[in-house]
Amino acid sequence: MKKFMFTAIALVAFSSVSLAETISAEEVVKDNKSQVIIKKDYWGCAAIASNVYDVIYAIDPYAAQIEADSAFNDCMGPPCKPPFKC
Amino acid sequence: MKFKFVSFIIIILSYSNIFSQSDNIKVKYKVLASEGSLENSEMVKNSKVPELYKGIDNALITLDYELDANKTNAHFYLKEGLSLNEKATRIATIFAGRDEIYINKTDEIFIKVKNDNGEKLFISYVPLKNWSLTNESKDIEGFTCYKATIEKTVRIKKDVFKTHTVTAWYCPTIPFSFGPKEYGDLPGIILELQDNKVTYIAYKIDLNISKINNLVIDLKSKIITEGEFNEIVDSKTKDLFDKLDKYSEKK
Repeated sequence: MKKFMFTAIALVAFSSVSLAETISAEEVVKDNKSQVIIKKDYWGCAAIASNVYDVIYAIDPYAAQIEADSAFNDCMGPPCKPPFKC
Repeated sequence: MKFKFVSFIIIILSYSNIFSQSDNIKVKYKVLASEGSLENSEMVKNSKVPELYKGIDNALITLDYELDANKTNAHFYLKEGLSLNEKATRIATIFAGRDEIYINKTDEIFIKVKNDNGEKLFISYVPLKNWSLTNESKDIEGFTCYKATIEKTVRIKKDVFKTHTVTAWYCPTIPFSFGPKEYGDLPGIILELQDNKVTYIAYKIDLNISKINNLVIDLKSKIITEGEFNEIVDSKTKDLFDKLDKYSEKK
């Protein structure tokens, strides 16, 4: 039951975080139905942000830090609520 | 001999006709990737997350820039009405340039306006002037334009600079010394400009403008120097990486 609750909350929490989907996903088969649980991956999000910065800074260092921050926030999604720790 | 003389007179008259109509000018530019594609460029292909840049080639060609000018003042800007919130368009504008440029040659005021995240920064800059002129010419929108090049050095990080060649095609028959972005100071308007990864190409030149608005910047805002702007960039970049480090440690 706890696992089901966790899955449900995770799916709702991250349904709007498209970038996070590329970071860490775990496929769970439950009642013959496949579900993908998205996990927040701080390091993964930081790595994406850092990479965005690396691509853009040579063109526009100012825009690079804005876009990197935006990519990080997109990746992390809305502010965390229990049971997650941020 | 008589034919040559008549031809000469006709050319002079047609030029003077252009000049007489040209107290104001409006030029529209589209943007293309200089090497054919941004998505296939090395810097994007080498990215660990190239999917973040998907669609920027298509977004790039939708960008529309405009240069409004008279003989002394100019205003260059990205046309409004674009969905800059769309990720691909936002990234494309970084490659093509988002800054608004105001030039007042009489008072030697050169201002770059950065408008990101709702914060406007007004930065004074020193224009580049050491163009190398060549005799190479080509026709752009019916005007003969000549090639000029200049070396541009960009500050990337503290004490890290990168230099690249900027190529402009200017048209002496349209005697306005302005062009896309902050480039100008040539004996004619720039109708094509290759700056790093992108090329601006004029597609509409309107010489019959009776009045142009928004040529003069409202100088009530605080204007900062390029040095002060660099300090802001360094500080914000440090904040970003401190934040990323903080989150990385939490894992």
